[in-house]
Amino acid sequence: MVYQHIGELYELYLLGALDREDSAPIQEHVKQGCPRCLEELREAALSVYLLCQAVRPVRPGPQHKTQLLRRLRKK
Amino acid sequence: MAEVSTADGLSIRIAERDASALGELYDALAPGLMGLLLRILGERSEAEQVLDEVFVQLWDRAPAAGSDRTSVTARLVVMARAAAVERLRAHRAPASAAAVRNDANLLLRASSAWLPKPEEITALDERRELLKRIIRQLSGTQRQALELAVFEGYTEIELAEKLGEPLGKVRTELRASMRFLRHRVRAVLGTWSTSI
Repeated sequence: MVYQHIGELYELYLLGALDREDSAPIQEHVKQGCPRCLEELREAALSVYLLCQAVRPVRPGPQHKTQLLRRLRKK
Repeated sequence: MAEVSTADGLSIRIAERDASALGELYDALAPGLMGLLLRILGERSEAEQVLDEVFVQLWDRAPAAGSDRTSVTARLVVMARAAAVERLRAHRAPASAAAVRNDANLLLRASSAWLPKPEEITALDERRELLKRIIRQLSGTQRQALELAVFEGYTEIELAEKLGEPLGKVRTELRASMRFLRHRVRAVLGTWSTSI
């Protein structure tokens, strides 16, 4: 898969929406740590973040935070 | 969900095992994350379990991640979505649960250098309403496919089966939506580059 083609797929890669045939070469390419890839991934992550914001905020249960912090303090 | 202006400071304190800093971060980000998790999982108790998981993971990995200059908000959103979608996929196809994978999670375990910077998330949050309008510019079928991929964790192949459409058509539509979104985000954030 040529680089330009891979670069177009980063959003779907981050969403886990690609099949193995498309995701495996990306995984291999990303491992090489090229700076251009990191930039493209960062841009893709912005789009993924934006898509994840299309929801209404909901407060967790009143005890949730207390229980979480208690659990962390015991670690 | 707004990027907390003190997120970097909180991350450093969290890396130093300050649980009250994690509490402050929780106050700022938990409602947005809970909204996302509930949208994906549909069940409040399960959403709270995943919310727990991601904050515990953040806590456990904080000493290693404390010095990197990436957005803690983006990190939590990516982690929360990945964990919830993994669960949803395992519910949908329990027999193949072992094969359930999430590329973003795998990538995060290896490195977080690709995560957005705090200032990028702040800029995005400041233009949230404009960006929401951009999503609404997509066609109904593009939005439906995107929602199934983002909130229900469908792969392109699964989407084609679910929608009863040819795989080639689904791929073309989905990839075109993502290109559209990426270019609009670039335009809104003023980050057009020569690679476009």
